[in-house]
Amino acid sequence: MVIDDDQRLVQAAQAGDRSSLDALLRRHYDRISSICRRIAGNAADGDDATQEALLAIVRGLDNFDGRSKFSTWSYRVATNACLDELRRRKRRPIPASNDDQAGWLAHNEADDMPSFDERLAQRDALQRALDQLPIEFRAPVLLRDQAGLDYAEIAQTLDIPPGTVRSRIARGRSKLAELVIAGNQHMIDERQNPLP
Amino acid sequence: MNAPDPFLDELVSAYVDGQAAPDEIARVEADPALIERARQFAALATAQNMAVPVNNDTRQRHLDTALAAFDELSVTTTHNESTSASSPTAAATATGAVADLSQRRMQKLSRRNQVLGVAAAVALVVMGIAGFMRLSNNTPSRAEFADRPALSTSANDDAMSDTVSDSSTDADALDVGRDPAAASDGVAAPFTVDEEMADDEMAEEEMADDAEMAEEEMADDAEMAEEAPFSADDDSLAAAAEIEPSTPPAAAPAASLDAESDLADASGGSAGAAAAQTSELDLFASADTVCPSVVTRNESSDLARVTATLDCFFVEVEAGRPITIDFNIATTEGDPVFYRYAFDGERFLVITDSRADAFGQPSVQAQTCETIARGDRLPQFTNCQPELHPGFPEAVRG
Repeated sequence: MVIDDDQRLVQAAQAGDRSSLDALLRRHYDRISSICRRIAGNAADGDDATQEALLAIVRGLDNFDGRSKFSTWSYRVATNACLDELRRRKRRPIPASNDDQAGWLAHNEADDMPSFDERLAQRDALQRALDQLPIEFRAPVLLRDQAGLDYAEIAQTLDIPPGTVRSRIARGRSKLAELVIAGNQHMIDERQNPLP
Repeated sequence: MNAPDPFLDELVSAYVDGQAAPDEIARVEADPALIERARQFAALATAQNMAVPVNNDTRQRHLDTALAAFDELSVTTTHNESTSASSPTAAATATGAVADLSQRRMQKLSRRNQVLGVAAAVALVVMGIAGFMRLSNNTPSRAEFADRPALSTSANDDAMSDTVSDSSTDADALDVGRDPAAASDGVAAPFTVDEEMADDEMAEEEMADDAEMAEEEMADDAEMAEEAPFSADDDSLAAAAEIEPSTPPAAAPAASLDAESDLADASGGSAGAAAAQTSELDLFASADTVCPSVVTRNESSDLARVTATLDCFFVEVEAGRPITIDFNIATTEGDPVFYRYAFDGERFLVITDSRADAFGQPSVQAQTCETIARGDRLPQFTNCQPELHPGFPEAVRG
């Protein structure tokens, strides 16, 4: 018989055990960081948002009552912290750097017509597309595809109706697919017809 | 599919997420273009799921900062606890927990007993004075008065006679009269002419306490009412719908007080379910009294009672002690769905009986599970097998 390890760590952390909190945060750090990085759209804001998310989790841990999985709860807290951080900064995501694009171009010189999967597999292709995706679509898509929340949980996290979640995820994915293809094609065009 | 159709993309997206209706699934699977689109969406999801590389130094810095915040919070909490130790309500407010009012109720009861004692003393004194007046009107001699039998044979008489004879007007006597220790020790409070005023003050104080407790209880109720009533139809029973944390579990004793009456007067549900409910209660009212069985009625208090029983259950499970709990969860229509969770020290028997649910799929399911996690409202079991477990007679019902 095994009781969920997260639950055990949460209970210990709530009782004041620092090492349990450390283990808990380490266990979920990469996922939280990825969510924040993708929501923020750039590494610098993503790092700051991750820090805010961890602090929000620590501060809210006493209020976590175990009715949901810790992972679900922490991703929700992290998402809201990241969105708050973005709103606070009122900053648009920074487009991918020229270095990133140069790296992508160098990688694709021999392939003018990559498949969708190949385009998607290119370094930073997804992140570039996500950066251009409006936040109202980006957040539900990330919560679904990266955090693994279901529609009801996403609706609760973003405070929108479940039906809206479904349509926004669909539109977000549609736009994302379009951006992955168009973005790569744009760079291919740029390479073939460089500006003076 | 050159020009994506938003309607079809939504259908495909729902298909990828497993949220599509049967007819939608059929439509997607019948169209190779939609299947290809679904594959693209799935590839996008897979790509997003790849963790973004994290710098180790950055990770450590983030974690150190978070742990430092935790240390700071711990220090603050400790300080708050030490400064509010005498006030359970204040402590509960600080932590967001439901205040344990039992201590305050005991204090209040003790104070109420004091007040009643004083009131009885006052009544006796008034009767004594009236009697004395009547006797005086009959012009008895002091010797005759002294020879008359006592006005009362109660245990307070000795104290009363002492008190009347003292007839003190010393204001300090009020403080003595309010001393709970004095009252509990059976020491009668000296009565003074100011006692009535003191009684009024105490009554006011008690009323204030009552109002305060009522406010706290109303606040607790309101807090629980903010949560959706616990319902078997809720998605969370199947998997996920989450309640934002903040409603702490009610004290287990409160749940245990409710449990018997719950089981005794469980009602509601469709007419067809009533008979089944009665018979099911025989099977599903656990004799295990460690963690009380719970019947919900779509009331705001449902969640707190369920949570209290689950808290109790998890304590027993973590301690490795066999325990059985039963839930009779009302659907939104009021029909009962029965859940039995029995732990034998190693494994769990999980029985779900929805035969009385006139609006659902009637079935009885029994399975043994090896792991449990605190889920959304009801626990989540994993590593389960539908096979019957010979150690649990109820399993034959599966």
